[in-house]
Amino acid sequence: MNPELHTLTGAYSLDAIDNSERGDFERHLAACPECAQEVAELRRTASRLGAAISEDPPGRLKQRVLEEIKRVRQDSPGGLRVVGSGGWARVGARRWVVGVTSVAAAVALALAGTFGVIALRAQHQLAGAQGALAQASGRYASVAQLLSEPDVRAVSSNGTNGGSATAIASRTLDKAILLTFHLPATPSNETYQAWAIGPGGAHSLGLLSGGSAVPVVLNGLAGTTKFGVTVEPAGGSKQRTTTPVILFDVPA
Amino acid sequence: MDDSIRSIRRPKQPVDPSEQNAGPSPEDLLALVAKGDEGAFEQLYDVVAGPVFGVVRRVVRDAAQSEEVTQEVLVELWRTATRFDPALGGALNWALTLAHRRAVDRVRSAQAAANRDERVGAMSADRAFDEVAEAVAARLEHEQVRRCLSSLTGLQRESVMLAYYGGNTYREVAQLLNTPLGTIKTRLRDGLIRLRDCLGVA
Repeated sequence: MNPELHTLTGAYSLDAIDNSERGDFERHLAACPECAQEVAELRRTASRLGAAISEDPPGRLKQRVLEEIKRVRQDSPGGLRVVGSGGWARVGARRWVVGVTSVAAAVALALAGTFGVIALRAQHQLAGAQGALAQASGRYASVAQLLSEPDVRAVSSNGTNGGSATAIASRTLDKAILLTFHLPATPSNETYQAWAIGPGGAHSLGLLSGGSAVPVVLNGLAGTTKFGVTVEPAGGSKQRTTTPVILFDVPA
Repeated sequence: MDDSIRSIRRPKQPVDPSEQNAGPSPEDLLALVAKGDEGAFEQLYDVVAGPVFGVVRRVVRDAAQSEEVTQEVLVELWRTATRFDPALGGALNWALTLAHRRAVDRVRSAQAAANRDERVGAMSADRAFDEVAEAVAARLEHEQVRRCLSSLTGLQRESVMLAYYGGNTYREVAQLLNTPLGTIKTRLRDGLIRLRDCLGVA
């Protein structure tokens, strides 16, 4: 625990922190479970201050809100939250921090802090991916969970045509996530497709929409030695038909 | 989550203990909302709209803008209900966390920030705090919160109130109270910790 940063739990819980400092502090939080726990408690405390000054809004607001929600699609419930029982409760506090504040910052931190060498190489790529990550932060709960596993490992590789990919894997969770960054746009009749490749051949992990950091999840690492990304005809292929533009080993 | 928040709006309702468990809790409602239940959202609205508007109004002040921000927050609550995690606090805590953050975002938007610096500079600490304290005291319906706030040291209380109710950053609080930054950071934390313990927030 960094004592200097730790005193910011109060200011942070009150939203009394400058934006410039918020990022630093959130990176600290992602790596400090007891700070995350304290923030969760102090947030609940701050909410008590809020609940004490309840004031009825104008009656017309209700109708407006009820009308608006009819037009607003709800976020996916963490579309990637595919891991079943067990892990969630244990990482609850940290997951909250990551989920509610900034998954992008946590990803950047984990890669920058835990995997220093890779991070230096991938720094600009990560920075560029943060917008996309933040936008879809609700869907990244499983990235956050993976990052909180002690045995998490990452590998990063540049693509032959540009862009890059990072894979994060945990043997404990028996799970890996592949994130791609800044893949060059494909013509409209082509798409990127991710593959899990092993002695038994390649099986599709799904299509990647060009450029953005869409995470692809692999549950069950057995039989997979490499990740690959290929360019395939729009709609994808059952089996890969081209040489991978990105290919690298699954993190050990 | 503790019951005192959940029941914050209950005084207006019959206080028959047998009814305490009659309706669904805000957390139950939020779980239904997460499944797209608009009826549950309407019920949830009745529980959280008052506290949300109270917080937003206190920070944003302007009535029209407060209404806008409150609407944003409630729609965000609908949109993100799917991501609510009851392990981290109750539904009202979730709503109020969103509300405070959005209110603060609004007053710190680029243009507002410029005006705000001037305002903070021009305003004496006494006046700023009195203004906040007066408005808050008038609305502090919750006796326990009032009592616990009064158990803080003067500097802790002023710092926490200027930050939370005033929507000020800790730098602004330091400026307003003419106190070193490090001291304010510490007072915000130890003040909140004392409040947490006094309020029994687990």
